[in-house]
Amino acid sequence: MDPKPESGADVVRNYVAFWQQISISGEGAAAMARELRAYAAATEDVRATLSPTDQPANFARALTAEWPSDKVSP
Amino acid sequence: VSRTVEEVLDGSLVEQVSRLQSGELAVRDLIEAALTRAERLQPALNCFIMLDRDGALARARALDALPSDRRRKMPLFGAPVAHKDLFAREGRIVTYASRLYAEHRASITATAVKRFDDAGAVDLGTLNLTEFACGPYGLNILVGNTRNPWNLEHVAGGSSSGSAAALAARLVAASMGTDTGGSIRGPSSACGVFGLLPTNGRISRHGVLPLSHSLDNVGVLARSARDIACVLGVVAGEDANDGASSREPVPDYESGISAGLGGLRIGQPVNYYSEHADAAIAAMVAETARVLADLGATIVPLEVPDPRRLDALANILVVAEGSAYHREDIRRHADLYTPAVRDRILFGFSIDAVSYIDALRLRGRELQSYMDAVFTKVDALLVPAMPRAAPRHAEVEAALSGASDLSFSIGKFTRSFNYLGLPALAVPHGRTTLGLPIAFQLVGRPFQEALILRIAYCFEQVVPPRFPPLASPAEPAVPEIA
Repeated sequence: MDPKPESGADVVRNYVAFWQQISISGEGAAAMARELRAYAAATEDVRATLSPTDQPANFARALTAEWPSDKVSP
Repeated sequence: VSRTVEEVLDGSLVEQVSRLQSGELAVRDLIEAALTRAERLQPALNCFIMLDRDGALARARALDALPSDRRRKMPLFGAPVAHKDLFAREGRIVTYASRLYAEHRASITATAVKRFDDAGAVDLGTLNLTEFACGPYGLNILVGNTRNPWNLEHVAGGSSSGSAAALAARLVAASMGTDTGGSIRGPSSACGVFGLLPTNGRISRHGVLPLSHSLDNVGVLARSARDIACVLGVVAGEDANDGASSREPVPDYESGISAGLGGLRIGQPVNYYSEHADAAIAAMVAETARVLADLGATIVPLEVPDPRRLDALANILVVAEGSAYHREDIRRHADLYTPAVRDRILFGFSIDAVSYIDALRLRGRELQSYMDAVFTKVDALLVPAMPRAAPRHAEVEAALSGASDLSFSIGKFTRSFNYLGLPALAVPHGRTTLGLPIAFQLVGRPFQEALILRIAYCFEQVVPPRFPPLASPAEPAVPEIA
């Protein structure tokens, strides 16, 4: 690892060099594009219903909520 | 009952600890037997990355010197264990199964490893995995792939491949793995052992290499539900070093495990799962439901939310977070990554920020919807663990060279529960006509691991798991994998 902080120009230069260094085959890129489209399509409807109050923290709250059914079975 | 050391090694963790605590068997003798067996089978199975013979025997001698009262306070006293090589132990090389970190020495000890140590376990070494825990087949260019103890031509699953193979071969009594989309439950199913994905945050991840910090969980693999209950009681609980670890109290997972299934409602989905599983898997789940009903549970057929949308949301998180974590390493050392792993990480750079943020924001609402739709009607859910038995190494290599990432399809029954954060336990049940193990999953409400362990415990009393004969992996006649 290089501990030296990078300047903004370094970051851009390295990012370009990174993509030049990596060769993704045509098939690989196509497979990724297919996956990406599939993700977008699979979640499009539900994402459209998000409200401003839907936040990541709601997940932690839902995990620790006491569900009414918790006490139904032994 | 008097048993040989080899027979004790074949037995459960709970039995091993009982015989060691009583002094009936010396820790050194059991560990020597485990190491000898591991050295014999390692060339065939390739489940270890590093075996620490000297360290394990020194530890065994120290434990043998402890007085009886100290032994009985250690719930894992003398048990041979080893963990996926993602768990740091200070001063020891932790490779993450990567060429990039082949000589990386850890500067800390993972909290969960320390809890194993404090409970008296004996760490035999480090176990193989998919490079950086990134993929379901145990592919590895540092030390080679793990092979399935049931058939060496087949993969052991992944990413916790070495953990599952070492347990099936009775080299260790318990192991920790990690599960981001099925990396414990998949190999557990492939090798025929029990594997628990706990509730999100139940076990500290401090000192464990991340793949996706939102979805990663440390979990436990063992040869019985009771063994998992014992180990979970040791490792679960809050850790100041992992801000995402849960403050929920840790119950005694073993008490009540044999209470039976009377009055319990177990949901069996009527949609999605059976139509996306091999016929043998669907038949196994149906048979499981019959057994559970015979044991007193009420099987409730029900429609569950389609897991494909949850999978899609999980995939956004796992590839984006994985790419963020690996960004610098892959930019500087892309040539040191396995191509299939590298491609998955590169894929994550294509995820836009808006999709990623939405996937996080939806998580709480999706969990609430799932609880309302499922867990207001049932106490646990019964679904298959994997859609098929373990594929052959050659099949996986061919699929990957065709730029088809099978990792998302093989995890289609597991990944949604990582997104929801729910506990899920893989339970082995039977084998295919090719002799390969298959398994079902029991999914519970948040922090109700005790309930799904109880169901699994009752099930295994009437359908005990079977493990592969140990002679075959070492026999030269068994075909070698190129």
